Amino acid sequence: MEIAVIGSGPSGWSATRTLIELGHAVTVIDSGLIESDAIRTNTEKTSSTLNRKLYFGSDLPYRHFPFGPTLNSREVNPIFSFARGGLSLVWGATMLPYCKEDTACWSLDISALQKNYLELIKQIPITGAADGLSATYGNFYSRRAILPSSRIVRILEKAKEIEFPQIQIGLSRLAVETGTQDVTGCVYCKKCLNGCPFNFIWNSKDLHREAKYLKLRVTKLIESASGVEIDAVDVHGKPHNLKHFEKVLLAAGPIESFRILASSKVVEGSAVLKDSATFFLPVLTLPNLGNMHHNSFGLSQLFVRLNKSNSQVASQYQLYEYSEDLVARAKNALPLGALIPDTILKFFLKRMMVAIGYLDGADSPSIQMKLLENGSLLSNLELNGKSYKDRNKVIKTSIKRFSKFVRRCGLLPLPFLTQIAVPGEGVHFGSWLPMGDKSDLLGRPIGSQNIHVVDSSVLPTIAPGPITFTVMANAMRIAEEAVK
Amino acid sequence: MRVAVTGSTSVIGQRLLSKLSDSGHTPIPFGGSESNIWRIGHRCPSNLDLDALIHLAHDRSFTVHENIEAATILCESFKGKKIFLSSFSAHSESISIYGQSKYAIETIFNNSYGSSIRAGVVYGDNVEGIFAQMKFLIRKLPIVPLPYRGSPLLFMTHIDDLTSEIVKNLNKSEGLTTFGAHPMPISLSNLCFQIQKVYSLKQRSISIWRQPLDVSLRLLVRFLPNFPMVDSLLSLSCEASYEELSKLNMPETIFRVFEIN
Repeated sequence: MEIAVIGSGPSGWSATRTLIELGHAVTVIDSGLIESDAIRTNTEKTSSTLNRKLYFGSDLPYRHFPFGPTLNSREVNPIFSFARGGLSLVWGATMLPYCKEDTACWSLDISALQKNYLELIKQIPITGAADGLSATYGNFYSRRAILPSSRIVRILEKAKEIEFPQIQIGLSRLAVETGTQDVTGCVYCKKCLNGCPFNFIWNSKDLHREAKYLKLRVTKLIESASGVEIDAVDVHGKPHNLKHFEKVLLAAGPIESFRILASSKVVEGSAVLKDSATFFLPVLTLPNLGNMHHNSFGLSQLFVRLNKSNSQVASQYQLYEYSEDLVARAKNALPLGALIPDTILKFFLKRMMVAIGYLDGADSPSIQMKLLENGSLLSNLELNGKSYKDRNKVIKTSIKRFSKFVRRCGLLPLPFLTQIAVPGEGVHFGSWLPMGDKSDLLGRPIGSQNIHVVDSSVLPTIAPGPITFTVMANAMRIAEEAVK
Repeated sequence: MRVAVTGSTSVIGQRLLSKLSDSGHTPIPFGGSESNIWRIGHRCPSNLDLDALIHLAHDRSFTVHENIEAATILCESFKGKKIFLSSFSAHSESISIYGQSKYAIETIFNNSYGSSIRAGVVYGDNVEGIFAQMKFLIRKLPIVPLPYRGSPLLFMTHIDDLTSEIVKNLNKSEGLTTFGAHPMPISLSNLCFQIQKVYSLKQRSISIWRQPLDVSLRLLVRFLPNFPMVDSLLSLSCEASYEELSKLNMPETIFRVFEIN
């Protein structure tokens, strides 16, 4: 079967791999720059939460595509990628499946995804250990955990002694190579947040050799009885028309997927994109946890999951150890921060950790997407923030509950220093075309036969915490069933 | 395979001998006080027709230099496959005599057709060594001093995991150092609590700062160099560095989590 996959991020990677293994001819259409195209810079800044991976070529996603979108966006800051490999070049590499609670309202049974999760851990190195998260999330990991910092070990030991209902704590599941018999792994250089210099953090940049790769940006899909036709433009703006694809799998990311489908009149001209509210919470470590260990790693070290209980919403926290770029961050955030000497800042920051909290997509502000009638061919989207009136209250109660728990493990959160990201900055967004509601279980928008959306657009819910693992597993499931 | 085992009278040695004969090898025990074939510092007998040598023996009353010399003699007199049982306290910045000599011997073995396994604190039933010494200390002391600020992290290895890993390494390539412990470390104070809990010892414990403990141990080891227990405690208090652990080879076996019963 001739199949086109649009997009080369994690979901595109997962779908392409599955289709090739099933013996189909796959064409990947992606507008992404590849490293040789780009001139690296380490001065460019486009976002306050993800401005860090700028040293080892991972700044590609932030570079402007020659004819990139000019968004009319207000109160939102969605992060785009125009690079081969998508946002997996700059991600925090967290890979946690959805739990039962997250999929309560799905019309798809979560157990349908179990075998895809298992297949993925064979293909991608995922670190982890049997701990407090295993009962809720299952043991989906294929490598030993990266050695956590000494403070994290002591926090986990203390947490073991505390009985706290509805709270799970465990080592982070990360898509990082920690070494097997044949390959070496993480060397604890602590440069994770700048992009791994050894390429041990997994990304989907290296597409499968069997797939044909076209560097085009899709403008329109035309569905007919014989298959799907694709209209696209190349880097120079020259239009191309690609015919005779029996199926198209759309994995371009929720905003780009919406633009393509709305321009093709497959879906309506406006939609609501759900986003997981993200906030940044500095945490003081009490002296009995000891000093910061000099060698550790920079990605998230610990997951704390707060389950839904009678009046409180579900949320998830990821704990990060002290790293050098916190100093620059603190300088920007503090009033007159630039005047404080580095040594004094470091003295305080070494006694701190950072927690990044995520709320459930249902309890967070969302993004209103609208296709402009009079826009140009590619710059025709308008994004607006759609506020959620209880946002601050929900975050406050969640932090209160989190503090109550971690205080007994030797951590003291500082809620007055909380920074809340604007919608889109947390990069956990999607769910504008939920399966079982606006599309069928194979990601086909109503009325469409051969166009399958496989990215985060079709997830019925945005869970607190990482969504990539489920997006990839779902893309794999749809790819398998679409060609049956 | 005919495999010689030095230090075979120790608990690990005894367990290893039975493991070797279970897996079809012929173990030849070396060492022990009554043994007249081999002692630390002796050459390996050449008339035994050996295929491999496993070096477990370590004399704590030796200095670093004497330990290195004994290992060199052993390595030079036997040219076949060799395995050395090293320790997590063996690394380039180690301050204890134990760690320093293990680290040096590791290099000698890896350079002469040998490989090494770095074990953590070995536990299991009836184990000697650091674990037993800690148990002894906790039993004898009226008040247990626990390091308060940042107690060091320890890697734990069960004796059965360790011996089966050694037997497996007989067929592996040379020049490798293998990481032989459960990858999740535990803190020293947690270990003390666990020992107290399991043996239902009801002492009071006091928390002391780690730095004074380290300094006093360093002073003690300088003035009482022939007192092995001080050196063992010192080797416990110096953590293995993560950068070095990452260079080590990780076996397929996931070692069991620390649980004493």
